Amino acid sequence: MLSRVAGAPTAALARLASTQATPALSSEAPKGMGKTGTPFLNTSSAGEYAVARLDDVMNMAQRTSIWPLTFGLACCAVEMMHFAAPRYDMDRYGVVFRASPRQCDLIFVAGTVTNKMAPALRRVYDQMPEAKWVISMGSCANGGGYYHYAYSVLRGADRVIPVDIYVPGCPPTAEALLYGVLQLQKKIKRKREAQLWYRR
Amino acid sequence: MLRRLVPFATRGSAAAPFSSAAPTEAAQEKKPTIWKIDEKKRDKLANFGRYAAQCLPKFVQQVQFAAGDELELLIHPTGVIPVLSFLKGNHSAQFTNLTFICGVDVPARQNRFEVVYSLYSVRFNARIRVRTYTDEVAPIDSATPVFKGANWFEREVYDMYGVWFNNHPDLRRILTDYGFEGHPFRKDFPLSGYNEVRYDPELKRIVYEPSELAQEFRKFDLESPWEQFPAFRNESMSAAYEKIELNPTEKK
Amino acid sequence: YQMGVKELLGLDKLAKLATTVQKIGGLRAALKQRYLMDVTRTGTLVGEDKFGNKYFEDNSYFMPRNRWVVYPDRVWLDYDATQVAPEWHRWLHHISDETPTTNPPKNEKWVLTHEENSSIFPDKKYTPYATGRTKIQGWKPQ
Repeated sequence: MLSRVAGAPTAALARLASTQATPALSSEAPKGMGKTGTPFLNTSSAGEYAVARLDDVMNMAQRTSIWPLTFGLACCAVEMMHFAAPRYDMDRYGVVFRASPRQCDLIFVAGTVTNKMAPALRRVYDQMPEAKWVISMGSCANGGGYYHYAYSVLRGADRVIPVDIYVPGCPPTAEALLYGVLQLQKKIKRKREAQLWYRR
Repeated sequence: MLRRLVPFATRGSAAAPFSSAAPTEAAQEKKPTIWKIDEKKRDKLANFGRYAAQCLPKFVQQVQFAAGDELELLIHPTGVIPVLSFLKGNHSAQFTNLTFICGVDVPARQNRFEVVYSLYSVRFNARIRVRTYTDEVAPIDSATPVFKGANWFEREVYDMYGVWFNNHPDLRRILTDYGFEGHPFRKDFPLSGYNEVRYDPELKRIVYEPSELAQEFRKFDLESPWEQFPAFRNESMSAAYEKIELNPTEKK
Repeated sequence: YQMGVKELLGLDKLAKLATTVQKIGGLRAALKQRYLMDVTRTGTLVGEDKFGNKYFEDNSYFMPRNRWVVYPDRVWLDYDATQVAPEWHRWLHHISDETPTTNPPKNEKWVLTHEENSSIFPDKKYTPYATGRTKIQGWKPQ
């Protein structure tokens, strides 16, 4: 339980100390390609380098303009509206709501998914074009939540669609949802689609 | 119901048994959040209850006050349409607004379901409840000829309890899932249902499966060890229902 | 409030920009701040925590934006809200007005050091697994 995972620190992560004394900091500001914030720094050939930069561009384009489809089902939808409201403005992150699933690449499952709604949710998810992500918002969408033991509630949206980010809360504050979207942006930044294609 | 009456904890009457008299004025003044029963209105409602019982003696079986001043008519199930159209059309009543219809399941009784119609009179600012009873197979006449708004309420009662309504224009499920079997609000229907777990496998669609909960519903005993209402220890469930005597000489 | 010529033409805003850039430390530093933080602002340094985050305050900005954190250079663009130390989180989120410099936390022996939220790094995140018997058990030929 007290295990602090000691994974290999990359240039992007801080090295944290195990005592309260001053931490052993790695070198300050990254050099060279690291200044752009890309996670793909160790490439061995020119082809890999080119493909890694292509990945960087694609990821940057995708993460700075995530267009969600609202799937506001219940009370969490109001917190999603708060996220779109001026204080936690989501438009400055490039996140604009699109009404049609064909034009969006993220779906916020906000609220309780009932058994009656589940096939509709699956159908909407299937209609989204390929690079798609799912943020499950609130405890009802995460795992049934407050209504977990009810006869007509789907115990978690991940029973029908694959979820990338779970945002806990009942409802999650708009700030928590904002943090969830930022986490998704970081996750997209580390995606390696072009490099995997190249390797095969 | 008990919340409407004077709570027992007044000074100097710690163990006073519950009396069916109206709460005293002094006690009322000291507790501003307790609902003040308007005595004149209560009398008018009682008079109207007696009048309705006299007009419809075939169907009205009892008239009572539920919580101090909520008038209730208990009627026989064949009398739904006569009573409701009487209440809607009578000039001294004019209960034109159907507020809701709901059902109650009391499995211990022979006729286990009660259907409750709640009416409101805009002209006189008065509410009344009409209660009938039925069991699992006997149908009740639908109130839609009298109140158009009864349509969806009766669909809900049918869906949740299984009470069939005759002459309903479109009696089908309204809240439960499309292929759902069972009537969820019955007391013998389990909280988590039967076949109600779904996921999406290689069949590429939602499937229904028997429920498998990872952790069953746990009932926590959160009651305090002290008795909640010692003054009402011996009262029965229907103690708060004050029956209205239908003969005017024995006024309540 | 009299609007002078400078206000009408917007020249006082340009002057404010010039002083801000100078306070940041020059054009290069201002561009770096713009690149890392998407803002150009100065404030008084209130304190620093053991990870290297610096905390600033400037009450001429409106309420939620008057306190901010500047992450150290080593995290560069991978800053995260969970990298702030817990004692500074309280001040930064306007829960209280007292900083850990004026009101230091009583450090219990059992408090772990703070780590950032690692749930999106697949090699670091906590993955639960079932510890009971599996529902489907393989057939052993015998």
